[in-house]
Amino acid sequence: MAEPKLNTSTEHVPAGEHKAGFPPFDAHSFPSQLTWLVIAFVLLYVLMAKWALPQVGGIIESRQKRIDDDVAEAGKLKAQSDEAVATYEKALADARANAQAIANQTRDTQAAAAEARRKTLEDELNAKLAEAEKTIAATKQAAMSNVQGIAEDATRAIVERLIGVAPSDKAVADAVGGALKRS
Amino acid sequence: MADDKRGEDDRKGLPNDEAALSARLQRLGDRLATANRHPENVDSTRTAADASAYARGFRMSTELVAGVIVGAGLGWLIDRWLGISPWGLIVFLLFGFAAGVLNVMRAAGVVREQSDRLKSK
Amino acid sequence: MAADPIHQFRIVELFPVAHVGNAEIAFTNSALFMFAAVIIITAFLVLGTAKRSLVPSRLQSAAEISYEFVAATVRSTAGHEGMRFFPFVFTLFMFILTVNFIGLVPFTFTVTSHIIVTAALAITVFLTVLLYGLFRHGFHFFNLFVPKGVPIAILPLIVFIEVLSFVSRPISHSVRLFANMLAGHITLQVFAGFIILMGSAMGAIGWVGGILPFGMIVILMALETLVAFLQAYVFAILTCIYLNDAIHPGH
Repeated sequence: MAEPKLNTSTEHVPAGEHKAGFPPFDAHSFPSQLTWLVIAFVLLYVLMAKWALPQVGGIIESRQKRIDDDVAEAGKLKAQSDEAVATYEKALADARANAQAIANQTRDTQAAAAEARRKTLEDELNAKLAEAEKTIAATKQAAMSNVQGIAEDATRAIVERLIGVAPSDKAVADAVGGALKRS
Repeated sequence: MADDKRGEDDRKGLPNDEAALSARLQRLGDRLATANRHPENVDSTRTAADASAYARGFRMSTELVAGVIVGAGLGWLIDRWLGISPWGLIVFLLFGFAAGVLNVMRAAGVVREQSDRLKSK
Repeated sequence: MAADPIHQFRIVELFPVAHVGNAEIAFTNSALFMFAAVIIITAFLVLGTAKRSLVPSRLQSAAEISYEFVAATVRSTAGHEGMRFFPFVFTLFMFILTVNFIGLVPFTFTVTSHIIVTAALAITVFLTVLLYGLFRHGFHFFNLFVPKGVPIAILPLIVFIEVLSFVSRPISHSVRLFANMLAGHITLQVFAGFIILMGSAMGAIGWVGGILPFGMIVILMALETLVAFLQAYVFAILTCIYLNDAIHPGH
């Protein structure tokens, strides 16, 4: 190292002041050391405060912000998917309820329709029944009147054969009518 | 035929999918919760605690000496100014020693830091 | 020469710069290593983080760790308001740390092994604390020296001791760093001297015997590395503790 310079430096010092020996306590070097320390330290402080630290801090901050953002984004997406699941389940429940309602309604309308058809059929049948009864009554009437005619004919024939005389129509009709009335 | 089979698979797979989905959502929720809790960097606080224990030790090592040096220095100056050597040195050495002991106790946490006085007031 | 444990602390004037009164200002080896530290720190932080990558490289992550380490120290010791002194504490810490580490390299000079340097740093801290405390609290700051519940008769005595205790801070602050670095380097040098001594005095046997002190040097080197870091950390954390006195949240 700069050995010769060292010698010249010690020569600068008046013999009385310079207590040769322990360099850290050598007051001769204090002014130089202090001067350069101040310059170096202030320089370093300025470099750190104005340049290096904002840069490093900015990086750390932006990373933290990125992480926070990502976490927030993930949280948002999770909320969305939760919502989607909820919507889906609600839709499912709605559809189920809807189907239930439709089934009920269909059953009701079908029951009503069946009831109505049954009623009309019944009415129709009743009407037909009544008609049939009327026809029977008419037929019976006609049959009855035919019976009188036949009875009169038969009576006239029987009386003619018995007594040989043809009775009058009126007498026969009265007699037959009386007999029919009695029976 | 194949369509039928797939349809059946889908229908059978549906509850499974839902279960898996809800499980995944659950897991995601847990991880988000831990991420939001912002871990106070457990590791680094521990190293800091270790280092500050060393710091305390080193701090104590010189506190007493410093007190004595200050006392001695003041005493020496007063002796020089007033010409009462060695009384200034003796008295101030005692004070310095007391201050040094106070420093050590403070460094050890036995006595409250001076700043606490500002806080509590 | 190698056996002289003091030699390594000698200030070597590389070239004179100016004369102020009686004092001579010269560019010395001490100044050289100070500036080396400034350049290394700046390069480490600025170049290391130049890419600003989100996923840090090894160097960037080291720079970030140093940043966050000091930031955590300041925040935990001096509170949130203490962060306004973060650049100051960071500069102190990195400067002392780097200078200490440079000093561990053989044939270099340890800036912090000179009391004037550590004293200047400690007094800077002391004055910062004192001036900021007065600026922030006014004369209320002197309540620092007045314990409560002490009988009025002995109060002056106690206050006097408290003031001494306060004034002794920069001394302990500077002496601690200085003495640790000095003692460590002297010890290393003495053990290294043993090797030379044994080698030259006893020939081959001596060189073999030199293995023992060499092993000691390896161990001491590890210890000194730890001490170099711890002293920088102690200096920084005590600065924070002292600053905490000055910025303490008023009410």
